[in-house]
Amino acid sequence: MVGGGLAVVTLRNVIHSAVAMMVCFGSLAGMYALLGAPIIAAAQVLIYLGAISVLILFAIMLTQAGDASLPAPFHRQVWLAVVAAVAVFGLIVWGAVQTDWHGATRATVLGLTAIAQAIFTTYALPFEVLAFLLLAAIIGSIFLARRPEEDERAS
Amino acid sequence: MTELRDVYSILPELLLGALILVVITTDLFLPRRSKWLLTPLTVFGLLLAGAACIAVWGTNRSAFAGFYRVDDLSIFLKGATMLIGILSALFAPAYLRQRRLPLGEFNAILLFSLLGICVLASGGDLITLFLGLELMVMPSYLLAGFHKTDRYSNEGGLKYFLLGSFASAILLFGISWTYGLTGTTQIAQIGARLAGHGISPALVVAIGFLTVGATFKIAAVPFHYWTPDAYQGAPTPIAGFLSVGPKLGAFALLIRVFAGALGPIHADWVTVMVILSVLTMVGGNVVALTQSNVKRMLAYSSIAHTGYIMAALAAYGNAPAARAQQQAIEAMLFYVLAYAMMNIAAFAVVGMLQREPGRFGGLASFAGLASRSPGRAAAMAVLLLSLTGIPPTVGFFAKWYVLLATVDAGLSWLAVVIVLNAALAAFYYLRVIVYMYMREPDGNPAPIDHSLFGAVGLGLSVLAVVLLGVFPGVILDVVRISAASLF
Repeated sequence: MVGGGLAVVTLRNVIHSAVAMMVCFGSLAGMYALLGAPIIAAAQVLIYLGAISVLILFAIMLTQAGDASLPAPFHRQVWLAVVAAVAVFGLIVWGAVQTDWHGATRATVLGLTAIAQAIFTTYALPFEVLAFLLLAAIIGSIFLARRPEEDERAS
Repeated sequence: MTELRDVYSILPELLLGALILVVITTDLFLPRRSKWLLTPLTVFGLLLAGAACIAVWGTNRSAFAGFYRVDDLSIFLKGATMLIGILSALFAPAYLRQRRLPLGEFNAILLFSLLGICVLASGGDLITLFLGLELMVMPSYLLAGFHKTDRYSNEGGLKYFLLGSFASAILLFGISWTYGLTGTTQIAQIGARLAGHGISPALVVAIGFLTVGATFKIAAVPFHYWTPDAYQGAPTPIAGFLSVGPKLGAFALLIRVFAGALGPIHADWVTVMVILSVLTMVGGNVVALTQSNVKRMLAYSSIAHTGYIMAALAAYGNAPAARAQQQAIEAMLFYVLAYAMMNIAAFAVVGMLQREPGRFGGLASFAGLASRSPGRAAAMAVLLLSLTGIPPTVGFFAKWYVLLATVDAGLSWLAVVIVLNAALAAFYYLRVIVYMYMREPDGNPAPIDHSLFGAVGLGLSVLAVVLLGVFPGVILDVVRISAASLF
């Protein structure tokens, strides 16, 4: 997964990056499965590997004209970024290793029925908020994607 | 389990959600000439939602299996949200019409963001808080880039979006660490489980990520780089909303996370908050001094105001007793409300001077405004005096209560820093007044917008700024009850 992630940001060709991202998504699904969350793993495969990757590839295909290779942006501050990234990574490792995790919860494997019940009873309110979030996203993306002439007709 | 009482207690949110759907569908059927009707419709709906806030006032309970906390604090913040929404809906139409931007989409996206602030204000669980935050900021990104044929608006919107998503990810990472440590996402239980365990390295990481993510959203120095570009690029009345609405929501998040979940271990985060507060005040003010564009100046000064509010949060963390803690929260709430009214209206005046597309709100466009439009010049003068903190405006009392809170919390030196910063800020605020009253207009003065909605909004906010400055007791009682509900 780490290799896939690194490849996404270092490869110069956008299509190669997109494929590397699929590797990253796939290994994340494997990690979910290993951690005892098969349903999330399945959702990860269906949504990220299936839908989002294809969407990204289509978006690249439709927007890229000519040569797909691009010079890497942001290269001026790369050393500063490396130092910052290593520092944050060190902080995270320190926090993870030095802590007594006795208070952490045991992972329980939930069946599909239990998850469905939780979503529509205990988690009903966050679920509804998500519905509004998606509606806002849809309206916003339609607004942004519309051509200016169509805006004038609407205004 | 969900009860009927739970549903009743979120009446303001339900009305707001319904209003969104009504606005979207009405927009479809209105002919082009009658689109302006959307503004009174939105304002009326927000007034209803505000009335619902009054109706549920006094409810203090957890709803929806602990995911939602309806208390007087949240209801106060929701009322303030509706007020911000009404002012934004009044200020924006004229500016949008001159640039041929659609009003229906603006109202819908604005209402989504308001709903997000309401969810944030009532979040009783880290999951609800995160969803509320996203529902608040995602429409904000859209609003910042709303003028999509304008290069600056695109740039501002994109910067806001990229950095904002990054900050959300950091916050989410902090939430996952907190969950890993405590095994719960419920605010009330996190506090109980963290109390008395001492500080572990993982807790340091968790607090660090939560602090960075949350302070990014309020635009505290050094996480403020997106602010000036996003505010300057956004259509001016929208910049007014962005400088108060998402900020109100982010402070609600800070109160819930730091005073709620991390309240019992406040000694561990207070130092960071004090340092960030001082950096934010000084950084915002010093850069604002050098700005010759009023819009950008207001953007930087809004960073400085964030610093004053953070000083009140630091006072909460340092307070020796519950009474002083409560006083600090009162100061925060009062300041946020006062700041919201003054800043949104000040941005609106800048927008009124941009009737011609292509005007950028430079200081020169204010020259001689007093002779060309005495009403607007007087309104702007009152707002700027209030932002400076000069009595008898509401801005004075806002600063006064923050000062009281910091002194009572044993942070007298922080109070001195605040006073020095307020004096520094007076320079750039009063400079605009000097331009308005003592300079002759230049050869090609900017035409002024005289639309009815804008004038009504401006009149309302100036009236509120002055009346609350003369009788602060009215709102003070409400603030006191609100803050008490947290303890």
